[in-house]
Amino acid sequence: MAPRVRLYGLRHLRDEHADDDLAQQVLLTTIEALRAGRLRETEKLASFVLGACRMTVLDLRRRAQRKQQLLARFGLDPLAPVQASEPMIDQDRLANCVQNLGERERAVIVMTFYDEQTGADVAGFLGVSEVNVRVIRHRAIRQLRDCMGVAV
Amino acid sequence: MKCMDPIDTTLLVDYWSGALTEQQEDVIEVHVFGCEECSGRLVELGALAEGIRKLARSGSLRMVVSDVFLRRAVEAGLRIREYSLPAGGSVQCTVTEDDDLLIGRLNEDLSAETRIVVSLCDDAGVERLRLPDIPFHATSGSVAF
Ligand SMILES: [Zn+2]
Repeated sequence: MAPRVRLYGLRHLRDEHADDDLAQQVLLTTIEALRAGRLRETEKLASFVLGACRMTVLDLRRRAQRKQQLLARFGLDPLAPVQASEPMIDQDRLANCVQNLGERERAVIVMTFYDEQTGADVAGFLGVSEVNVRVIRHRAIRQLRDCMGVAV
Repeated sequence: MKCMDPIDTTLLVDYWSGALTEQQEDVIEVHVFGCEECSGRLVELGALAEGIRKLARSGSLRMVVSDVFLRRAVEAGLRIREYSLPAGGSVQCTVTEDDDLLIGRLNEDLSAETRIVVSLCDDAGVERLRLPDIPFHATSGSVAF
């Protein structure tokens, strides 16, 4: 269950350190519930953990906001983040794979994952239809998957 | 355990890039939390997406970029050197090691064009890099790469 919690954290917090915090908090919450006998049926575990993830992300967001407000009020700079944990994939290989995509495929992929632009924005930039953007994106993901040898 | 109803990859991409409504996200999350196979696929997709964000952030991709991309790069503190290419003209580019991104911008009336090829040549005029078939919007009037 821990990888799923980290995944949830990465998706909702976009931060490799915050998802460590999330994983720990959710784990503690879950153990607490198990100990207290509030979680007897194991089939309820997944939905309990998902619920705990949702609550904790809201809580972490609130705390991050509060931190920002305090830093702003006292005119302080945020602390530099600690070095990221080890990369999950081979960046050099990925760079090669991305560079080997067609021009359109590469633009769509970067605009989707980096710019986080909507299908309509991407379509507008490339001058193609939204349906076409989805087709190009699908093809790009498949090519990347084959090139990286991962099972997406 | 084999998943009987795997989530479509396209849907996973939409989920990861934040393109779904809250209700749609809920459906995906409930499935993923209960499914070994789909959560595994989402882990791979997330790693791929994070890798691409890192590459884009470090300015190590040679590609056509959007104005959103440039705005983000500026916000992220990347140092950008930009050259504008006049129609039919040429421009000498200098790159120092302090530059993170080298941007070339074509300012031209593209409304009559159907295809753009970018070819980067060295001093001797030998082609070093070719980006065939550049995506562009006929009305935008500029291509940044
Ligand atoms: Zn599944």
